[in-house]
Amino acid sequence: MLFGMYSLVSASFFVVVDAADVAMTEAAVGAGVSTILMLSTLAATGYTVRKRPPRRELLAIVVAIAVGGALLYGTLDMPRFGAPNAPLHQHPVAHHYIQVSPKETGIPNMVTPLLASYRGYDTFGEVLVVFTAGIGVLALIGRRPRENGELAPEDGFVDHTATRHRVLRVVAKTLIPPILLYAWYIQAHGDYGPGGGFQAGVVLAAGMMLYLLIFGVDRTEKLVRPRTLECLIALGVLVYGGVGLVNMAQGGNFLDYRTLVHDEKHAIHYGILAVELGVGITVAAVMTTILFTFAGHLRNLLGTAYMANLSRRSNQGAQSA
Amino acid sequence: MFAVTALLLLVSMALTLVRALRGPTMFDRILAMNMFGTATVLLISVVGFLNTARDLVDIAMIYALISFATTIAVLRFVEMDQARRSTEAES
Amino acid sequence: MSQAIDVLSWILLVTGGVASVVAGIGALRMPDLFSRMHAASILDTFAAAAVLSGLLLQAGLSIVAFKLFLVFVFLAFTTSTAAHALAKSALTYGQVPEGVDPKSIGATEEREYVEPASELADPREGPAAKV
Repeated sequence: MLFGMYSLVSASFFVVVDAADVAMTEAAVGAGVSTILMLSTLAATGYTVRKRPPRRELLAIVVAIAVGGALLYGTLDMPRFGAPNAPLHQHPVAHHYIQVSPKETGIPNMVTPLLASYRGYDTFGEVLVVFTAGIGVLALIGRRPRENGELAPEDGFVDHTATRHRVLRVVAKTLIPPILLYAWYIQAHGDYGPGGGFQAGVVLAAGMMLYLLIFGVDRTEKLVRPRTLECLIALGVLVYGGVGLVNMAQGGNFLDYRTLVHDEKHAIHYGILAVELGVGITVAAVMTTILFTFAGHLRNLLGTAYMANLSRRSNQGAQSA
Repeated sequence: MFAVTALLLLVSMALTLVRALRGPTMFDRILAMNMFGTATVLLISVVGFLNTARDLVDIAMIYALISFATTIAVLRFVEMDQARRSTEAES
Repeated sequence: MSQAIDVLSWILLVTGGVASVVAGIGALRMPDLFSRMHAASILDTFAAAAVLSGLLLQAGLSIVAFKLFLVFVFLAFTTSTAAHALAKSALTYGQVPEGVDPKSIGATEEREYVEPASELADPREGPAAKV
């Protein structure tokens, strides 16, 4: 929870320095998805906190202050924020991005063509990193065990989540459609305001997580089959790389969108839209898959413990009866 | 005008933070986290108007929706943790 | 006319700010979890309404005003539901308001490591009945 608050403070800081896209990503990821995943990890591993001796905590605080102080001292040499003679503003690339990119690409929000077109390779690498994280989690934890394509035989654990919290269910049914719609709005509106693929994917995943938290794993798996999600993880990366390959097939460089259609400006715009769509699909699918794996694992853990508890208690009941 | 409101919201966030650090039970901390989130939503909206970048209201809306998901996640975690601990305590 | 709007929005914004500080002080000074929830609800409803109305007046009739209105609607839905979920959870795990007899509201007596008071707890009616 304190992690979530820390992310919020970061997001507020980004807002104050007018970095809207980054603030949106930080708010969505740090306060939403990251906290939920960390809580799932804690629930799955069953942590207990030992009381640490106060001397160790004092040492930790001293180290933190020392390192923070060193970093602050290092920033004293940097030019002031927004100073016009900073190297950041002098570089000709900055001039190109700020002056030329709206005319060249026709997109008002400068961050989106920067991410998707001028730095397209970097964003492709980021999508691949997210993809790798997704398949890494799938390889390590896996989903609920299946035999012959069917779910493993029920171990007696019935997920009562969907029946217990009626108020939450009703409100979730009201809120989840706006969340998903809003995710799509962010995806589509990334050209004109803060937004884009990453934020949209994360918000969509947060909507699915909300559904999973309130309605339980079983109903969520009926809603979105995990197999479909795994295909979507790959589909997003395929869309992104596919755009690049189409560019190469039409005679340009990899991810040089100008060769997509005949009009250059529109070509860049279409390329950026397609690429952001790929990013959004992959990010949403990966986050939701990770939560499915954690939830499935939790279900197994709780299932076995619950069954052990039940059988022990029914033995006691049989003995006392 | 906006600066005054932003400052007051920051003060409220600081007070909530103290409660989050102090609160004897976990529920106090969850409550403080919820308050902090709402205050952040308001702060982001106000700062958006301060900086004439009014698009920041998008971020406030995202955060209003996501903080709910986080609170529900924390409460479900408490439930699962208690279920696990009760089964372990009896075994 | 626009000056009147400015004055009104100033009043609303400052009222919202002061209300949020009051809510923060309340969260610190209230003796009990449930009273703190009352203090938190001031922030969620009154402060949010005041601040967002003040901003709404500044924004005029535009998409930003609609988004501000939506923010308030979402806040109203989510914070009240979160408060309900928190209170229900707190009651289930043994927190009772001060001065209230635990048995009279159906809360369990033990403080920590309590089984959730739900239909999961009874083994005779569960799927293991055939054992």
